[in-house]
Amino acid sequence: MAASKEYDLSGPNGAVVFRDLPEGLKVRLTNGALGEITGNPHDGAYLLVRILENAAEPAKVGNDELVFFSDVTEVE
Amino acid sequence: MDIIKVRGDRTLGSLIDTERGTVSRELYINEDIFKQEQEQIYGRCWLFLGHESQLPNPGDFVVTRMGTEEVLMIRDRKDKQIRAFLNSCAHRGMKVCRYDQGNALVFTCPFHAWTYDTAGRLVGAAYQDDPRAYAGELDKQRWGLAEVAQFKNYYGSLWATWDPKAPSFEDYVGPFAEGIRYDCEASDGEEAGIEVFTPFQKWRLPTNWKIPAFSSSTDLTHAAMTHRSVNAAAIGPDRGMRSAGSRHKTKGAIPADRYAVGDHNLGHGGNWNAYKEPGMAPYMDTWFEPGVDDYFRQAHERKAQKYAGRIMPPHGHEGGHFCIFPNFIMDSWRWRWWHPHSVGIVERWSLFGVDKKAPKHVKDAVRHYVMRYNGPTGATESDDMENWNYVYAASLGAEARKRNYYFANGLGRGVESHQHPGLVFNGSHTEEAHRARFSRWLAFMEGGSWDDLYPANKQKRHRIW
Repeated sequence: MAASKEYDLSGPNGAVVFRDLPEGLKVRLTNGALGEITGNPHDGAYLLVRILENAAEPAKVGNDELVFFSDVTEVE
Repeated sequence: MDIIKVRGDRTLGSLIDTERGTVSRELYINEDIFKQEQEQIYGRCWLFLGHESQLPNPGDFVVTRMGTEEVLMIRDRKDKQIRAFLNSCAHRGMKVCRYDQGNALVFTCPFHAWTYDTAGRLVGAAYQDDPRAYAGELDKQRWGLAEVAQFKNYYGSLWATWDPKAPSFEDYVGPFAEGIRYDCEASDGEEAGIEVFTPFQKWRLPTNWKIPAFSSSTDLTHAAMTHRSVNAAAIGPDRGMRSAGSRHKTKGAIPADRYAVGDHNLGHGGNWNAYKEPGMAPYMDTWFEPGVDDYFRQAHERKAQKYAGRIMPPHGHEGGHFCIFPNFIMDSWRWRWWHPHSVGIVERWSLFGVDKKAPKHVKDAVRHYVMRYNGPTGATESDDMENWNYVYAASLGAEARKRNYYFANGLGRGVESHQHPGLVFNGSHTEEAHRARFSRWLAFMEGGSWDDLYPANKQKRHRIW
């Protein structure tokens, strides 16, 4: 799946885009996992993400994790 | 901690002249004494934090204070319980919350992104799993926010202490528990039936915290002079009538002996009405706004039924305010307290209650009334502030600080209660409640632990005058 053009996390505006990401979007993490945003504290630092795919650690699928912004590669 | 008991050739106790009924101004202006108060008093006493209606929903938070320190109260998203934490990141101490109130999923420290959930648990940190950083070794169980040692929701009023060895809240407030319960009742007698207007009303003023907090224990003699102008203009608490604004307005009075009471063991005190007959006096119309008296009159009738065969608690009806040591004053519609910031700066906070189920026009009328009456721009507290401010400024000088304050009004005429050891009844316009504050103040300042303090040690008697 390609990176979303609507939610581009790169560039100087990326921090603002990240801060306002809505629930329900899917995000790709730096470890390769795919997660769905279940909550956004709107602090620009974290997202609450439910892990949907994790080839490296399948046991983590279904977990709810607090994901730091630098661990998010892109919105899909 | 090195407790200051001796100051040069003077003990702390020697700064209170129990024979003459005077108190050294050093208690109010000395930096070392102020620092010791934070450890000995604010570090151990039960302190008022706020009201549960400020946090109705999961994730709601309110920043409040305990002494000089900010405290973050949160209603947890999972178990829905309210907890209180030091508003300081466990990593490097930054405030994790810089809003007064709101709703949050988590609290992220803006310094290094240590992040806490609504139960105060550390749930994240920047690069927590990065092999070049924490590498997953951060012990999150250990590094949560610092939580108060004991927390109490008492009929909706929220209290906490940092001291795990402090007695229970009920033991700490002793005979004044009934007054707190009563003041949390709605106008119709429903238990815990009130909510408070938000946010906190607060402002800072340049004085020592004890000048208002101790001197307002009950001070009926100040009103005639201090509030003369607003009373003469009929814009004071009575608006030219009787008791407008109270949730407990009554006409006439149940016969009662009226006292100033000081609890020298616990430090609390204030007005005290010993009612001689059961029941409640009839309601009296005083509101100018349409429909407000109709609401309160009907509520009052239901409450009168509840108390028909009962003697009212000492602070029922219009029993006036009472104080919980060290810094809280309560009556049936105003809760006011003072947070020390430094020896010469205090922050005054207030909350005002109204029936949860009151209609909007009633809540609006009460809110407008308390705003007109209270606060730095209100009708009467601006009067009080003049006194509080200038007392401090006029006590700082080398000559002024040699002169003791006078607290001997009624000294030697108090009668101790057999039912409650330490509770002393005196004339309603005496300074008995003030003196009780100092009895307890000295006990806390010198007491090394709760083993030295009533009521943990029931054998202790703290009355010094």
